[in-house]
This record gives sequence, structure tokens and C-alpha cells, in this order.
Amino acid sequence: MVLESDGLGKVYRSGTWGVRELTLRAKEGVLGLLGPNGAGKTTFMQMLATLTHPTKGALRFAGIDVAKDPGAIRERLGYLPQDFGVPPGLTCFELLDTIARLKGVRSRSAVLSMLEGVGLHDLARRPVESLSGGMRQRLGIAQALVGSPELVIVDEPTAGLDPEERVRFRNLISEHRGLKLVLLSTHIVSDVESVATEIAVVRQGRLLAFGTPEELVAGAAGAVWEAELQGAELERLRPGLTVAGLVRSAGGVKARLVARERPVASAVPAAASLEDAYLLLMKEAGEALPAAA
Amino acid sequence: MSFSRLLAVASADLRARLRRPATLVFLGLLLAAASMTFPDPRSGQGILSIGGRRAVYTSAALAVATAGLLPFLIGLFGFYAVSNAIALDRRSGIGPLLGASPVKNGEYLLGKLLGSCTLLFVVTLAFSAVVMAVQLVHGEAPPEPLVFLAHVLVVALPALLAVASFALVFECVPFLSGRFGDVAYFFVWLVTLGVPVFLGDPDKGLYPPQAALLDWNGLGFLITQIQRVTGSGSMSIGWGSGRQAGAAVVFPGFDFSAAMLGRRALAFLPPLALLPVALAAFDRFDPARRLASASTKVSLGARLSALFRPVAARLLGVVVPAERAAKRPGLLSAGLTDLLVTLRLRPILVVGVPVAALTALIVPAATAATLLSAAFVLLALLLADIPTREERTGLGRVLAATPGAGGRLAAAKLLGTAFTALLLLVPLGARASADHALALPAAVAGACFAAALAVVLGQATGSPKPFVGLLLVLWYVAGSDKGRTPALDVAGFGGAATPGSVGGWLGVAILLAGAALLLERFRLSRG
Ligand SMILES: Nc1ncnc2c1ncn2[C@@H]1O[C@H](COP(=O)(O)OP(=O)(O)OP(=O)(O)O)[C@@H](O)[C@H]1O
Ligand SMILES: [Mg+2]
Repeated sequence: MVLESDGLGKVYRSGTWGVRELTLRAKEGVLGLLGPNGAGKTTFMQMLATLTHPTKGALRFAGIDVAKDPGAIRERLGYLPQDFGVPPGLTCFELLDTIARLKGVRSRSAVLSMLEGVGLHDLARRPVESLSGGMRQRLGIAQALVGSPELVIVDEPTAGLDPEERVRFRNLISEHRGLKLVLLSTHIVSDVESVATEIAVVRQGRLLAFGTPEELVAGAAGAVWEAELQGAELERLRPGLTVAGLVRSAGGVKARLVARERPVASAVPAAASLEDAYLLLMKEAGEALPAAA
Repeated sequence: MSFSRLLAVASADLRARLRRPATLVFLGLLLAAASMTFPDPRSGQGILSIGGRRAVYTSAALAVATAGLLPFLIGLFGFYAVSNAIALDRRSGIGPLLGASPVKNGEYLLGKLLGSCTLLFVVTLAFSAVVMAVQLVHGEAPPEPLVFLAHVLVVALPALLAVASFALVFECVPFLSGRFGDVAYFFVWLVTLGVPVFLGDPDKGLYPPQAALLDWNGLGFLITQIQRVTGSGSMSIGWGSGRQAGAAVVFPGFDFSAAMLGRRALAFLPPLALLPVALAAFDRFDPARRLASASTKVSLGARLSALFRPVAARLLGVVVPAERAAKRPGLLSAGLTDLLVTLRLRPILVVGVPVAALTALIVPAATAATLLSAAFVLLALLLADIPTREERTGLGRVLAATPGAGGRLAAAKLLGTAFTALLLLVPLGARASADHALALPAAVAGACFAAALAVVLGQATGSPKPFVGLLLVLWYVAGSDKGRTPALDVAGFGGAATPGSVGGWLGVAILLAGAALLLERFRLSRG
């Protein structure tokens, strides 16, 4: 197990628990973190990135305790924070070169090939403040991957990327040699579905589900339905339904519904996707802990 | 013009500022200073002396003494405290939201002006309250709060408005909005302090309208008024004033009259006249205008950098031997990387430093000392941003996760600023040492001191500005002392350094560096 988290918790000075109680073991590969806003994904990643100390529990990467030996983690780490900003004045090359140096890499060609990897080699001499939002994000990915890290933590790396770039990002990660673990958070379920080897679903600082994408999807088997409904009928039933999708059709709307039991009489079973599984988990967790803080 | 929108801008501004550590540090230091400025009258020392005799601690006397400090507190440091009103909105991302809202430029700017004035007003009141408490403690005369406030505010109000207006204009005008503007303001301030003396003669009670107009800091006004009511041209404000023997005198207080207030009110006019400049130059968070103004700078610098950036990198590559890739980079190389970033951000240095070194070889040693003094002013400009530049953009998180800077960014920054400062001062110090043997060690000590001060103030306040203000004041005090007091000769440009003064400044540098490291430790342990 390359990543071990035991009863991990982090309380902020305001008294809010960022992560409440997280226990998981992940194999080498790409670990996707899914969860609603405020679930604790960023907090968890910041602990693993040695930026903040756990309040309780233990966190180990490749046997190294994050709290006890942060230096050893940093030697193996590439990190892209959720709010990656760039100081004006430097060019793309210079910014990347600076981070590379701080990771002990001082080869010009390594920096240039990294820029090429994210498709920014033509912009190497452009000042970073003149980049578009998505280009900036690509530069952020490049700085996380530079220096052959074993552990890459990327917090919503695909936010703002165009579809082509999202594909390129997945390939970049899978091609990267020497990489033991990529920890990736996102709200775009299809992004993790295709790239993650394991997925952790978190909510309110706790682990809700863990497994390979196939395992999670299997958990939702038989709980996904499709039904043709009239507009008025849908509005009436809607408060009691979990709707995964709506498509206008000739006779009204075709609704994709998530529920363990047949939600409306006209519903027919459908094949589950990861997104359905996620919605089902959230729905059931919401029913289980209605008023948790 | 909607008054409620203006008030909304002002109150949001004030609330945001009162929660900033920089503001709190500024206020705390100020109040500590206020309580320590006033010596115990039983020691025979006072804060105000008239004709060589100590003034009794009446409300009027203490208020006048307070007002005498205001040109420095408000006029100088106030500027550095409030000249980031717009920058804060820009950085927090609120700016574009405001830009897209119905708020008019005039409302926004006046709101910011009001916010800054209120902050400075609160500072003045807090300072006054501490001084009044001091008066109660010493109990030489009954407290008269209204008399106190009248004396303080007649001096302070135009100063508040002027500082807030200057801050706004400096923020709106692109080339003044950075560190260059911070340094430039210091010289504006110096000039306005001298103007009343130049245009009139406050010591003799001569205070013509043109002097009153430009005397928003109020020093000339203050001296004139004291002269008028006491008939004495010899007065001094400061710790230990009135050490000379003789019975204490009672300062009668200003002679408030319509004419006197009218003359003082003239000082409101120039700051108000500045406001249209701010309005015309304000970019309303338009990124294109911002970039356009930056790109004229960049295009000149970009050509230079294209030439010099690779050279700088190569040079550093030679100086720092390559390390084994997978190993944790040493602290030294983290410091040098920081220096490299500085050089890349200001490629002019790559040319400037060798030119300065060559100039040092050619010029006479005495000229080198003068250049050393000028180089010290440049330090205010160059070092200020270094400690906070990554933190401010969120890149700080990335650095904190690298093996080179993680957990020891302060140490890397101390090295990075020290290298920058040494590059600039050492060649000149070496040349000046032909005249004065200790010039070189003094320059080294001065460079280390400036570096440590930049890092500790940047860390404590998150803002580059307090450092600029403090370093320039030190430079000014050292310069006007003309080498009479070795202890003041911070970087040896007065030619008066002694082993004691060099050791002293090095010691202060080490203490400040220690404080910066402890502060980082403390923050990390709380993280
Ligand atoms: N610096 C902080 N101080 C106090 N509370 C915080 C801080 N950062 C996060 N929190 C709280 O911790 C909890 C978890 O936040 P976190 O940022 O880890 O969520 P997230 O899963 O990354 O959410 P998102 O999907 O919105 O990025 C939230 O309740 C949040 O309010
Ligand atoms: Mg997050």
C-alpha cells in the first residue's frame, strides 16, 4: 500500500473540522477524490503535501510518515494547489525553472520538455500574466510534474481546461514514469472515471466509499432508471426524486433517476455509470446523516 | 453619485483593513510608541520645551507634542499603511466584481478615500487616547479632552486628507503604484516638510498663505502657532526636551480664531485638487488597461531580459555546482534560486550591478560613499517585494511543498535578500574603504541589516510597504547626521563607522533574522 491514512483528522482554528476521520489504503496508481464542496478534499491534500499538520491520526506515503519527515515527502512531491496564482513578471520558462531548481533539478532540457508536455513550448518566453486561465492551469500542471516526482497531488487540475487538454492531461499522467501515486480531486466525474485506478468518495470529512471505478459502479447496479414523464408530472414528483439527467423528448422529458426501488411506475432499469453511483452515495448519505454539521 | 454606494465601499474597505495583520501591527507599534514617548516629568524631562524650559503636562502641551509627531506617523507611515486600498481589491478578486457593478468610478474612489481617512482618523484618536491616559498617570494637570482634540485635529485633519489623496493617486497612476512610487512618496514628504520653512519663517511667526497651502503635514503651522502664543522661537519637541534647568512653564494653548482656522483650511485644497488625477488614471480593474500599461514597461525590459536572462542563469549555474538530482537542494541553492528570480524580475540588475562595480573602480573614494548612500535608497525599492512576492499570489503554497524551500522559506528569503543587497553595496563599500577602512564591513553590515529587516517586516505584515518607510527614514536620519554619530551610520556612507557600530548593526541584523525564523517556526507549528 503506497498511501495509508489512519483515523486522520484536521481541525481548523475556527473549530471547523476540515477532515473528520479518514481511514483508507491506496495502491499504486491514480487515486481520485470525489466529494461535494467542503467535503475536505483540499484539506486532505494539503496534509499530504506537508502544508498543514494533521490534528489526529497518521498519514504515510511509501512508508514515510508525513508529519514526522515532511522533508522526505517534499523530495518526492509535485503539488498543484486549487488556487494556483502566478506572480507577474516571470516568463513561463522562468517560473517552471524556479520550481524545478527548488526541487533540485537544474537541467534546462527537463524544463523545456515539461513545457512541451503541456503544450506551452511556444509560449516559453511569454510573461505568465498574459496567459489565459486554462494556459495558466497547464503551467500549474507542468510545475507539479517537473522533476520526476513519485507523488503528484493535483487539486482540481482539469478545471478550466478545454476537452482536448483534458485528454492530454490524462495521457501525461499515465505516461509519467517513476510515478507511484497521483492524488487527484475533481468535480468532473467523467475525468476520474477514465483515469483513476481507485476512487475515494468523501463527505463531511469522512470516507463514504472506496474502490475501483468498476466496484463503485457495481454498487449502483439496479438502482438507475429511466422514465418518460410529462412536464407537469415531473414537477409534481420531483421533490422525492434524485434526478441524474433530463433529456427533452417528443412526449415530454426523459428522466434518468437514481433510487434503490423503482421510483415511478413507468420507470425501466438502466445501466449505471460512475456519476449515478456518486449521486446514489450522496443521496443515501444524506438520508443517513440528515443534520450533521 | 450615490452616497449609499460610496459608504458601502468605504465601510467594506475599513472592515477589511481593520482585520489585516499589517494594520494591527502598525497600530500596536504606534500605541506602544505613544505610551513610551512621554518621560516622567519628575525626572525633570519633558516632551515639549519652550525657550529651554519644560512645559507642564497639560492637555494643550501634550496635544501639541502629539501633533508634532503626526507628520511622521500620519504623513509618512500613514501613507504606507493606506496606499494599498485598491491593490487589496485587485488581489482578493473583488475588483472585477466591483468593476462590473453599477458603482461609479467617483463613488468607488471617494469611498476608498473615506475609508483611508477614517482609518487614519481612528489611528489618530487611538494615539491621542493613549497620550491622554499618560497625562492621567502623571497627574500634573487635569485632563481636558476637548482642548486636547482641538489641538490635535487642527493639525491632523489636513494631513489625513492629504495622505489619503496621495495614496489614492499613487495607486491609480501605473508607474507610481509599485515600489518606485513608495520611494518617490518619501521624497514628496521630505519636500513638503521643508516647504513652510522655505516659503515663510515659522520660527518668527511668519506663515504666508502659500506656505499654509503646501503645509498639509502641519509642522510649519504647529511651530508658527507655538511661536505666536509663547513669543519664543526656540521650542523643541522630543524625548528629554527641557533638560535644561529652570522652572517648568505652562503652555497656554493655541489661540483659536477664524483667521487661524481659515489659514489652516488652505491645506485642504491641494489634496482635493489631486483627486481628479486619480479619477482620470483609475483603470476600473480593466485587465487590458492594466496589461497595456505593464506591457510598455515589459517591452523595454523584455528586450533586456531576452539578452540578459540566459546570462544570469548561466552565471548562477557556474557559481552553484550542480547537485545530484534526487537530493534535497541545499539552503544555499534555495537562496540563490531566490536571487535568480529577483534578477529575472529585474533584468536591469544584471547590467546595473556590473556597471555599479565598474563605476566604483573609477570614481574617487568619496564619490563611492555618496553612491553607497544612493544604493541604500535603491535597496528600499529592490528588497521590499522579495519576501512576500510568492505568498501574495498563492505560489507560496507550491514553494512550501518543494524540498528546497519547504519549511524554511524565511531562511531562503534571508539569503536571497542578503545576496541582492550585498551585490549592490559591496563594490561601492570596497571602493569607499580607500578613504575609510571600515566602509566595507559597514556596507556588509548594512546590507545584512536591510535584508533581515525586509524579511521580518514582510513576514509580520504581509506587505512590502512598512519596510520601505522604515528603511528610508533610517537612511534620512543617517544622511542628515552627516557622520557625527557613528551608531547611526548604518551602511557606512557617512564615513563614521566604528567597530562598535558595524558590530551593532550586524547584531541587529542577526536578531531580526532570528525573529524572522522564529516567526516562521511559530506559524508552521500552528498550521
Ligand atoms: N483555512 C480554513 N479555515 C477554516 N476552515 C476551513 C479552512 N479551509 C477549509 N475549511 C473548512 O474545512 C472544510 C473542508 O474544506 P476543503 O477546502 O477541504 O473542502 P473541499 O472538499 O476541497 O471543497 P471544494 O470542492 O469546494 O474545493 C470546509 O467546511 C471548510 O469550510
Ligand atoms: Mg477544494
